[in-house]
Amino acid sequence: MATFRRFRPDDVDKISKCNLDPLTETYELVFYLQYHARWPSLFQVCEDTNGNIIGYIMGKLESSPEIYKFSEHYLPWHAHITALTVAPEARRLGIGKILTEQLELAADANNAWFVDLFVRKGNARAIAFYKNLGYSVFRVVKDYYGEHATDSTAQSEDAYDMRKPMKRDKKLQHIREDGETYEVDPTDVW
Amino acid sequence: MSWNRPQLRSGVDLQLQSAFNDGQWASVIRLAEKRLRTFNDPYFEIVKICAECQLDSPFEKSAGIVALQRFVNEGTVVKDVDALDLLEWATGSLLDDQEFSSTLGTLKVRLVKAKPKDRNGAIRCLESCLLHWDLFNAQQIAAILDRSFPHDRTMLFWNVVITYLLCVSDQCPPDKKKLYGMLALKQMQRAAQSASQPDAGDSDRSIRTEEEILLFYRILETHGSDADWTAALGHPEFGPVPQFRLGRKDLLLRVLDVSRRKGDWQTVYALSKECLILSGSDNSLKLLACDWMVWKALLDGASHVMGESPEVLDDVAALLDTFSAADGVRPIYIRNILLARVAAAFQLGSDDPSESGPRGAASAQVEELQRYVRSQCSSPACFDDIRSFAEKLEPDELKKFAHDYVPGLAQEAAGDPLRSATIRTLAYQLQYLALTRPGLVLPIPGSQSSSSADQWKCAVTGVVSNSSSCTERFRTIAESAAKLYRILTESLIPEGNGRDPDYVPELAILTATALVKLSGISDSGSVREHLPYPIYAARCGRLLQATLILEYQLSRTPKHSRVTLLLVRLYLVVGCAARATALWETLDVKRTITDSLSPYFLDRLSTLSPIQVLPQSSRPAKALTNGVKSYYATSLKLRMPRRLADAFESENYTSILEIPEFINRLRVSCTMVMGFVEEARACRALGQRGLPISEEVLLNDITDDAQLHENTDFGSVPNLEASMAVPIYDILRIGPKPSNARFHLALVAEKYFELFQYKPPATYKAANPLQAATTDRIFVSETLQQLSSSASRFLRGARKTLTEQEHFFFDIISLLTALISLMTSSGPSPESSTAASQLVSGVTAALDALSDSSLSLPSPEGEGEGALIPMLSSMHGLFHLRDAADAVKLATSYITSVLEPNKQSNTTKEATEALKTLDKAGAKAAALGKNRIAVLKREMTNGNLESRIEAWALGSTAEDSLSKEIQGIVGDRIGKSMGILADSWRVGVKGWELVRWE
Repeated sequence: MATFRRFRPDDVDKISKCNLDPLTETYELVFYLQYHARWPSLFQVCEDTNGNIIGYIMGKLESSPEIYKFSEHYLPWHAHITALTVAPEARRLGIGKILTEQLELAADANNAWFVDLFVRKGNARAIAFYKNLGYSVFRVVKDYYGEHATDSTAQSEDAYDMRKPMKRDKKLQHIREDGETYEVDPTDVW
Repeated sequence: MSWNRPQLRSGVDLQLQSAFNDGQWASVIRLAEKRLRTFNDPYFEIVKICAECQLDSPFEKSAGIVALQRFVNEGTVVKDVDALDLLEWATGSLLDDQEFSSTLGTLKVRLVKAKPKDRNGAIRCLESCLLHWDLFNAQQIAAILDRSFPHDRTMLFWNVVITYLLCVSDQCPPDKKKLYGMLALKQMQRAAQSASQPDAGDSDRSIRTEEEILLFYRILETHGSDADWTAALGHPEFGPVPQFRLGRKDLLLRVLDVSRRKGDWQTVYALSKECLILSGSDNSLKLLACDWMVWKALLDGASHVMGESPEVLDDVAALLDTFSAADGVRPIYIRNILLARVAAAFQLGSDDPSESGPRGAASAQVEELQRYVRSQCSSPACFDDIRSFAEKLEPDELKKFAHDYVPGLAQEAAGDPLRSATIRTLAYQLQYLALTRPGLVLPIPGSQSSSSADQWKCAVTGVVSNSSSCTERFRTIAESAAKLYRILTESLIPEGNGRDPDYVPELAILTATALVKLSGISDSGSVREHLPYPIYAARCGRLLQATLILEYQLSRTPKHSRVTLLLVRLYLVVGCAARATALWETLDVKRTITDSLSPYFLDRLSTLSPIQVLPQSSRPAKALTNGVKSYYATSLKLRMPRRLADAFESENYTSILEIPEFINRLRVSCTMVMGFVEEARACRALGQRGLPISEEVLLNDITDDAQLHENTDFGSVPNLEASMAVPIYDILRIGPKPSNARFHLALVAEKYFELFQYKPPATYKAANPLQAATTDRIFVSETLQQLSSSASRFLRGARKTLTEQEHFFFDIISLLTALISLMTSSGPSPESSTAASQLVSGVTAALDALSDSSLSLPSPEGEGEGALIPMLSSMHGLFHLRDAADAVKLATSYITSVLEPNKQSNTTKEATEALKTLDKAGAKAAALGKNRIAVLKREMTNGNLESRIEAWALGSTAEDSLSKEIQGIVGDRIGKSMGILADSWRVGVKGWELVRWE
């Protein structure tokens, strides 16, 4: 039993089903409020009948700072998925997919070129999930994460920067087919 | 702003800039004076004032405040927004937020009035007023901006939303609320009307965006007439249906909610139906309305209108059939549709008893439940989805459903052992649910047992008992769940690897929950109120068994949140605060979930084990309460968060309305007060010094008139009970949940201790000791009067919000505040002596009652588990006994210190006697408390504690098949489990040995 709707600040009082999951980061309040204040249509939740939040997606709309306008790494106006989480009990029901699609609708409504996100290179399930939704690897950010999720001996972990073109990108100029081979440094990511 | 040093205005010379940036304040003063003489620019006067504020002497520090007041009183217009920002920064720490409006807010409005076309300057002033939550001046600035920039539609909506915020806030004078409300409404109505006109280009002042439409409806909700509201709903562009067609459903959800609150069921029904039809038929909307909230609205609406319009039943059925037959529907929507069918059977079915039977409503309900379970039984959420419906079935139907139908499904799935186990788990959960439905334990007419009590029988299990609680009825379910759990963990999935299927930990939770019920720990609120502590009348062995199975599960799935949350509370009630703390820390409750989750564990922790609250070897740098305090310090750094300004900049009007509401509530959170109180109590008990409560900035807002907000998120905590039964987490609690009254009383008590435990710095020497002592006494007397008044206010009717011991303790504090005032401020008279004598009697009686309540044991000391576990579980009372004895001691010491110098002239014999009585009573209470700790210390070394616990927990397993199952589950981990319990108790008792009793 679920309802999809925009986030409200008092939802943070009911997000324990998601945020007690060790894989979900809990941020300071101002972080959630920032997304609610600036991009409310890209901050969607899924609630159960008791008002508990069983999934949410946080996204934003932005472009790279103007000073990077002529850099090869410059990102034009796009939507970015900052966080997507579904409570363990509510997984495998398509909630993550619906939340992502809602964010994509908002991205299209705001004339974004594409939606992007970062995911650990070793997180095969998440990568498969996004690929299934039409995302592809645009580039590999070397040593993006300061620690490895599964290998305690590793000092860092690479990230995949994955993208999905939106309606504006009719010529598909902001995605690439061989993204897995295109490596950049964390300093190239703003 | 005050928290960051600002930059000086651009164009200021490098020398002055450098001196300012480097904090060379003497140079800044000199240079600013020089620039003022040279350029005659008032900006430099303010630079100089700001630099003076940074100096050490109190006189110079207050230069900014003095200047502010002078500017305000003299009607000065500071026309430089940079100068005002500087002044704001310099006075930030000295200026109370309440004073902002009459000082800086006033100056900012003057500036904007003087320079109405300075858009950037005005917006900076507006932002500052908003972040200080000065709505009065913010509204004036917004109105000026709107007048000055009529072609800027953003200014119009800023003006409207701020006017609206003002009219619904307590900053608006009551006689102006309606005026401002109507002003906002009329502006929005005008903007709505002009939307239907052709595009006005630059002068467009019409509603265009989704956020503006949502704002329009928010204002209509509170200030529009019914006709306005109805007209808006039918608006061809801004109505919820046209908006829904555009893929926007937030307005629909909002309107459904408001219409429901208004009782406008026709609208609820019509709107939800229309949007569902659209959603199902229009491929571009892709089930946009197929939310549970919309289905619920449809069914609620239909149930209210079907009397007058019976055809709605066919319409709803047709809609459900259409959605049920749709292809390619997402699993979550399939659940919603199936559940809507179940809900429809329960809500819209006939109440006519003649229709019961194979084709009646009852049959339809079971049929739909069966359909749902058949489809969704693999989902871990299946039980939660159907429980509220299942419990409405007649007992016989529920019994058949839980005991026959669902197990039958498990049987059908025998070829798939994991699926079969999932369904059997669901069956056991439903069987447990059936047992917790109130009214199922019935007296056996005419039966008399040997003890002359009536006999009782469980309608579901047939178990007969001498007690109406009939706890034995939970034995079968506990045993069944334990057996299945054992089979699964031993054979199917012997290696946990942290990846047990969902139903394995759920079975552990079910078994533990049934064991808790079997323990006899009371689930009746009325009975609980009379017990000194939760496990007073419980069989502790069963509680220990519950901890064993949950600990075992945690060894398979570490950090499992539901298991951990249940186990934490279990440990708290059996006196294992150390282990509870260790487990709590694995959940990593931090930052934003602090407010809603911390009370689950931290509330009253200091009274169970003060040492657990303070720094430990595992976290040497910080107390457990640090996370709580830092969360509020970070979140409430400004009166309103800077994100509010972001919302304005982004023109998100619903966020503008929602953020302040949330922040204002956070400022009066029970959890915030709890964080400070828990730490203060723990520090006091262990003789450590913490920051006094009265100096905590965040508590400044907590006046007696502040209504504290309670908020605990139980969403992640297991709860298998029927809705009318007490949830297991409430059964496993030390006392009533956080409340306004309790935390106000806690603050009174902390201020009482702070008042009498204050010691001036060793270096402080009063120039005139006599005068200083007199001033101190006046301060004490005035503070006591305030505390006495607060205590009386919050004690009235607070009994149900407090434990028995808390009530006695706060009562003692209240009596002592009155007693000290009486004995130290009035001259001797027969009346005052009588009153003092009565107050002393009150205190001693309350102390005696508190001692009895805190130290009482269910059976004579020394009889097996009957003594030690209850003693370890009653520390909450012991803590309050210690505090009460301490409070009495402080009172007698202070009264004596005041009366002693005037003994010859003023002190009556009665007063002396009263003090002696009081002193004696306090000393007796402390001695009793100390003695209890000594007994506990002896118990910890009396024989092999681990073996004793094992005997209490498992007893003779040959005689008890359930205990045998638990032992079988735990297997060779039994020694480790006993060690965990024993170590936790030892740590707890050692911690209590450090508590000061004098």
